[in-house]
Amino acid sequence: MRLTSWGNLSLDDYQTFFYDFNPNLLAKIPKPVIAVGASRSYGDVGLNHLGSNLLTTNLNRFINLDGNLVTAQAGINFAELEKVLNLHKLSLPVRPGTSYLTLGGAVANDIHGKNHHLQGSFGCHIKSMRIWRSDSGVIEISTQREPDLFFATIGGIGLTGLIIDVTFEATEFLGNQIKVENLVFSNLSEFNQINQSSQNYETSVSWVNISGKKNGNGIYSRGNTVPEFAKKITKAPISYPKNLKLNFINSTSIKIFNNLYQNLQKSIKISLVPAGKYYFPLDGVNNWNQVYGAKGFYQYQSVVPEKNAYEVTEEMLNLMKEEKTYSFLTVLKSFGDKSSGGLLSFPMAGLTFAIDLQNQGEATLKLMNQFDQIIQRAGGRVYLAKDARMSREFFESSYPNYEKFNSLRDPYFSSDLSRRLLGF
Amino acid sequence: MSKILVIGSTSGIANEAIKIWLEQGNHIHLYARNHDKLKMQVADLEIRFPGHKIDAFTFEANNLSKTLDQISLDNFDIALITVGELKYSDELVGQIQVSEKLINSNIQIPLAFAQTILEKYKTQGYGKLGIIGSVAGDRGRGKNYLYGASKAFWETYLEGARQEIWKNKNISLSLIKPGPTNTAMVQGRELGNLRLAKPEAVAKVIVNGMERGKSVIYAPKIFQLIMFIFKIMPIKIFNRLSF
Repeated sequence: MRLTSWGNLSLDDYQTFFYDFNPNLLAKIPKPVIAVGASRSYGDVGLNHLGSNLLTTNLNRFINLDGNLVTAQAGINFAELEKVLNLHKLSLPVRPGTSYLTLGGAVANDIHGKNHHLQGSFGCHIKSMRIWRSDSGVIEISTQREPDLFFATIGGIGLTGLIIDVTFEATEFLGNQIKVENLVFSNLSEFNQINQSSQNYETSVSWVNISGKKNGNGIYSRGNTVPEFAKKITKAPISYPKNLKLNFINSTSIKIFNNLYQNLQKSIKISLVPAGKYYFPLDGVNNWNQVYGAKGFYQYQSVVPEKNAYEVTEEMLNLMKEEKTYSFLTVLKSFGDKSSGGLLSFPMAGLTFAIDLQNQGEATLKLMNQFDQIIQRAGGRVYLAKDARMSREFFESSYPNYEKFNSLRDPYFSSDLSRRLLGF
Repeated sequence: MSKILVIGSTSGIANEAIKIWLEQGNHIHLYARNHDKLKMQVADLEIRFPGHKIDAFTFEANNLSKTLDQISLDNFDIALITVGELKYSDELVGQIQVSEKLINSNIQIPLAFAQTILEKYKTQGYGKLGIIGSVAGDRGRGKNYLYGASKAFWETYLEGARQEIWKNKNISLSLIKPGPTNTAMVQGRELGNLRLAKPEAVAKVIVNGMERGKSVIYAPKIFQLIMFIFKIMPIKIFNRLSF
């Protein structure tokens, strides 16, 4: 079946099976196996040219709800989770930029959101999981039972077994409106000042205008939930035509877009935004990834420790200026020090930087390799959920737990990414 | 608020139809063979629809009389029968028992329910019944003709039943013909580039079609056109198709 990931870099025929709830099936299908959720990761973490791609989105039931402890199957998506949790006055503890990912994908990539500085990554909220292993069948793992396996599975990119269901702690539902403040920064030290004073805000994120005259200017948005229950506006998102193989992305269109966007955001100082719209900006237009045309795009997301974070980011922005890079999605966000303990988890205390880069072949790869060198020197790392090209050497130096992780894997499972970076 | 029976409720399509009906505030009775799956389904629905009333019953495939008695006691407005299973021709070679089980699941068990429900509707004077057939029942294909034949059974059965009750405009009998759908039925099968419909989309078409009392419901609707083309296709050409 035709599969691809969100970056559209490897649209291809993959051997694909549908999975609901039948562990015996796993013994029958070709190995190695990778579980596929909503395919919202950007690179090759959820793709498998060898063996089987197991589509898990039918594994979408709630299993139990006990106080604020939610147990649900791995294929359920965040939009559904949030909708149902709200009925019980509960809310997701962590949300990434899209609501269409699955719970299993959220665990396997230990996703983070705009509240990382207070709540950490999704893995920080997991109490236990049930996974299927080729050697032991369905087992429960938690901090008490099989803790090594538990921490290998959080952020374990689907390689420690098949995640069947997950029990996590939901937070109290406070309201569905966010009071958002937009603050302009004209360089990274101003960003830093604003960021220091924003640590008590529930959520924060910044957009950097890389088309501006000055380097490192942008909009810092921070917000808190207000205890107001606005009637849900169920406006269906507009869709980008899926088979329109046209490419509208070029330096001019992005420059125009970025400067318009900046002026628009500047003018909105304080506003009330529906929570769904605020948390899931990527869901505003369906299939927006298609705007990059047939060749697709890379998202480069890195994190560097607090120390030198601003110098490093400055260096990256300068490099982009030199290389005349253009992008309309350039995001900065500071991470807190709360860690899930996942062996291959991405977040660390410091500054994360994400940028969408149209796939222009060698030039784009070269730029990202230069980014890698900067990140490696600063002791940072690149997010596996976004990666499609980093070198094994860089991976091994930036994810020091990889050997321990490999020893905890289930040999039934591997992906294009794992064979590229972990050897099998 | 309608009272709705769903027989074979744990099927992927039934589960999505139930969600729509619960959303509309109806009172649902679930019937399924597999106790564990039914328990899981109820737990899921109770979390999704807090405060809604859901009654659930298991039935034994070879001992239906108690269940059928229970059904005929109470009046209800809508019934959906989704009991069934899929086997391909190559899975049946030399397997008479597997073939018989397929007939049992696709005809005998649903027939026991259909007949009971139809009698019930005749006495109470109203009601909507939907039975899951298949596009595979429209034309026999080498790959799955026993399955197709078992589904084709319902075409003639419901046609006759409709003629029998034609004077009563308050009873409708719908034959539902889903195209290939992403449910447990296709689990573990490598499907090549066959595109599968989403069960929630199929369920929506079914719920609307039954509400309107349609005799035949293709879901997704495009299959009405696709199957029309296959049905008028001369046999000599049809036989050469390799799908």
